[in-house]
Amino acid sequence: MNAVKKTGRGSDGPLALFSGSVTGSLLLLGGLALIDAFALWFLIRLIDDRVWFLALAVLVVTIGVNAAFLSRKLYPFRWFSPGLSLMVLMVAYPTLFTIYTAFTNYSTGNLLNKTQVIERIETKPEYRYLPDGEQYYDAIPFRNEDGKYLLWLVGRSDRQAYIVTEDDEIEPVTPEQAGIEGVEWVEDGDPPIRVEGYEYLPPEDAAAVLAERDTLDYGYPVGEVSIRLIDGPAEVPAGYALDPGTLLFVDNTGRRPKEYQAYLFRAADGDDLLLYAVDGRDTLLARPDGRVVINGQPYTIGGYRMLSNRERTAITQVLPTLTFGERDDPIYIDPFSASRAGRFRPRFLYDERQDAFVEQETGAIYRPVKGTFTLDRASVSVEAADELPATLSPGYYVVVGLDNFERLLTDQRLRGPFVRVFLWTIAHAFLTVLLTFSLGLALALLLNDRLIPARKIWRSLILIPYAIPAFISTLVWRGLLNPRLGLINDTLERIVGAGNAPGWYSDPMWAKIGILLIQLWLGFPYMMLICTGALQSIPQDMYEAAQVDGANAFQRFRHLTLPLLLVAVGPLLIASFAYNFNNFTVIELFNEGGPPIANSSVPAGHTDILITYTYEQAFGSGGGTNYAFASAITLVIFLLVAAITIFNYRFTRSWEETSRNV
Amino acid sequence: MSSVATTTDRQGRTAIQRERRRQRQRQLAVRIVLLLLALAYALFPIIWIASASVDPRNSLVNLGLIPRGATLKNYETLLNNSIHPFTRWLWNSIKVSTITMVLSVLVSTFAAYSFSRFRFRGRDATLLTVFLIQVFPNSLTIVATFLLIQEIGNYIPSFGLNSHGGLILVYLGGALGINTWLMKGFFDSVPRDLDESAMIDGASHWRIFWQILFPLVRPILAVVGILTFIATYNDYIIALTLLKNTQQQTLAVGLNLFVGEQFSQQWGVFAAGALLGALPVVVLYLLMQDYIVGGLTAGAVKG
Repeated sequence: MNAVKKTGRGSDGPLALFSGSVTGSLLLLGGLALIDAFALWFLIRLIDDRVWFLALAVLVVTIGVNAAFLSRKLYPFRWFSPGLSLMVLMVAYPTLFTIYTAFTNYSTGNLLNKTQVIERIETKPEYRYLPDGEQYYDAIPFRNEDGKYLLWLVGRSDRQAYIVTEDDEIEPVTPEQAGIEGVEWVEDGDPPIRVEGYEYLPPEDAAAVLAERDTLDYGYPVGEVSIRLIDGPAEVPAGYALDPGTLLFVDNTGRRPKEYQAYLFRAADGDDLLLYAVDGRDTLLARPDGRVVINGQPYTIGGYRMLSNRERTAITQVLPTLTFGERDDPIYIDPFSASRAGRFRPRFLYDERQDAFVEQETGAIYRPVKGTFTLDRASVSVEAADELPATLSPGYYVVVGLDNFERLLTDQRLRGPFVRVFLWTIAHAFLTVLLTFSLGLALALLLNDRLIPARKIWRSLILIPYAIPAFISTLVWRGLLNPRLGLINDTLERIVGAGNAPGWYSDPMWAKIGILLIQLWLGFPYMMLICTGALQSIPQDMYEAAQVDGANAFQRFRHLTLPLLLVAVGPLLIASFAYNFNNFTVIELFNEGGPPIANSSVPAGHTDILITYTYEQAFGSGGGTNYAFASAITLVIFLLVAAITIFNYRFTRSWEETSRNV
Repeated sequence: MSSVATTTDRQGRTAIQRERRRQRQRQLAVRIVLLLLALAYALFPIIWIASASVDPRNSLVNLGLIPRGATLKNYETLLNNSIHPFTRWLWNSIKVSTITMVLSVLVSTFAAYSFSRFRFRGRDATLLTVFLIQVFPNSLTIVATFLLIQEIGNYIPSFGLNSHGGLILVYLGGALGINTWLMKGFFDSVPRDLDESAMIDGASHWRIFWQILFPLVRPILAVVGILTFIATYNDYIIALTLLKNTQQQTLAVGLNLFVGEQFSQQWGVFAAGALLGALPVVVLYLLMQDYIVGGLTAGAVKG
């Protein structure tokens, strides 16, 4: 090796950072301190959340950067500390994480870690039960402006009304809260109630009062009420209250706006009017301060407002997750019936000693099996076991060894489609290279004639398809190949007759041909370019010699041009093969790998290549996500790409050359 | 044996020469006809889409190579579209690609300088790693990358999902291997005598890099930069995975939404978008053709 040891200037002290200038060093130290402070903050949070792998990656990067800048010996690494940091974080970490994930069960249903899952199961609304001796409550939800909830509860056993909020413990309802303080019912009376502090206005007096105004303002949900005396039949001599159809009123009760028989009361110390309205069994009490009680049920309590049916429907998912009352004796909404509440308790509690969940009523044990807590049927009677869920969800992710690969080999309905995808991946890449290379070479040979005018312009024009981003060309081709409307089938149908043109989207074979057509168009200019370059590098005297030896044009091509060309462009062809091996864009944008392969246990299509197939497993719309299985397939692709690369560099030995040269 | 074609024409050419010449011309004509066919094949989708973009019917039905009438209405619709913010997507693509280009070139140049100018323990191992990562495209590890960016986003949202910061970070990682590898080759071709004499004069590495080597490799930086820009602009899989919010998406993801939802009904507007979207890259290609070809044959494949 002729390597020269040259790692900076030796005269600087151990902590000299750059050119030795004090300000420069200080600036650098300051920058390093900032980076460290940030890294430390990030690390603490990651460790706090037990995100071990990422924490490790960040730690490695931080230590690396510090070492590079603080150690004289590691001076060269200072230059690629940004690059190495990126490499560790964005390349090494994802690669190692892919390998790790391939051996786990990281997928829908197992997306959390064990700690999270234990907490999730213990607090899951569906996994709660009402212990013996506890009563159910009928529950009506209220909400205030801060989005906090209050429940109006009526005990099913004690028939007592209670109020409970998210912050305060449960309490029996006071008359003030119920909006009925000072109200006294009079059996068969007229008026049917007496109200303390208010004076009943008989119809004549009411008429006099109402003569001055025809609407009264009340709170939610009654809103503005118009009051008028009814003309006509004398059998109803009282005033009528007409609810003008405030929407809220209708929403809550489902009743149409209608007329009520109204009783007006006037406050003893003012002009405020209290309204009591009756229609059959329905009653409505509207107080001048805005509180409204309908059929004994207040519509506002403190700042809380009863939710309309529609509002209630919108939050059925949220309500069961809320905790009401005291923390250690909470009340929950029944997740299976939003109008019910009770002192529910977790059905499954984790027992650290056994590393298992214990069912609280029967004592059944759930032990972890590959990331899922599974019922140990021996721990409980047969009848009880049949009543209990066999497993608890969610599960957590855990290393499951070779399960994913085993599944690939043993599951018939997985293996069949996978083999097809695999073969098409290779065929697709190979045929793409073959087709583009053939056409590109032909064009390069055609253009390789000095007599052709304006060769550069020809070349530039033919280059255009290659210059257009593939995501655009593929979409354009998707339109061209549209089976009913596209230009190609439009033209073809004129030749072969309507209905006989290929089904580019629906027929597996034609879909494959369609993709190859697109690939040919996308790729041939590139091949033309590299062939042109290679052709120009073949010495002319070799042709002259061949001509002298009497070789004809084809022989010259077959035995001279082609071999020399292949040596020159061979590595590029293999690189192109490797690229198309993973050409996600074209296939995903053309038809997402469709049409689907029937009877496959995971989503797979006839034109899927490994990477679109993988993508579908991880991010596909149907059937959830399976990161673990996708990662397992990624490892398969890794191996294949590695094999192609090794082959390629055996072929060229360019690695040794590039590493040795200086 | 009799001598063949001894007759000579007025210019003094023999019959054989005339025959050769005629054959040559016929051959040339055949070549040009074939080239015209190739050109037609290369250009017809482009002509078709250009025609669609000015066709007033804005539909895929019965669309030919020649538009029936010409209008800029489709372009207007495209540029004033609130559900499909085309201009926003185009801007996002250009922004992300430009930032990636600049940062990637910087990072790779630093690394390449180190590889080219220093001999140190671990150099071969690091070099081999760089070589290996440029072999495996980072779209392969898209699942892990997605999970990583999602995790980072839990702590630093501006580098998480739906952020351009996270996307650029992934692109930088992806471009690192190939760019460092290309750049190292170029640095190697700059004679070491230059910086050695500067070093004797007392210049620091920092100064040597910026004042001597950087100006020398600038043309190469441009090529690597443009290749990075194009590769980033053309990426589909990573942007698709990381960007779910319409306002944040790049053109590659956005344009597909356009087609997916309103395929045949809005074809004219899509066509206008396709042409405008292709324009920046096609112009770059045609202007920088010769440089880019050099870069491509040095090992980069279209991506």
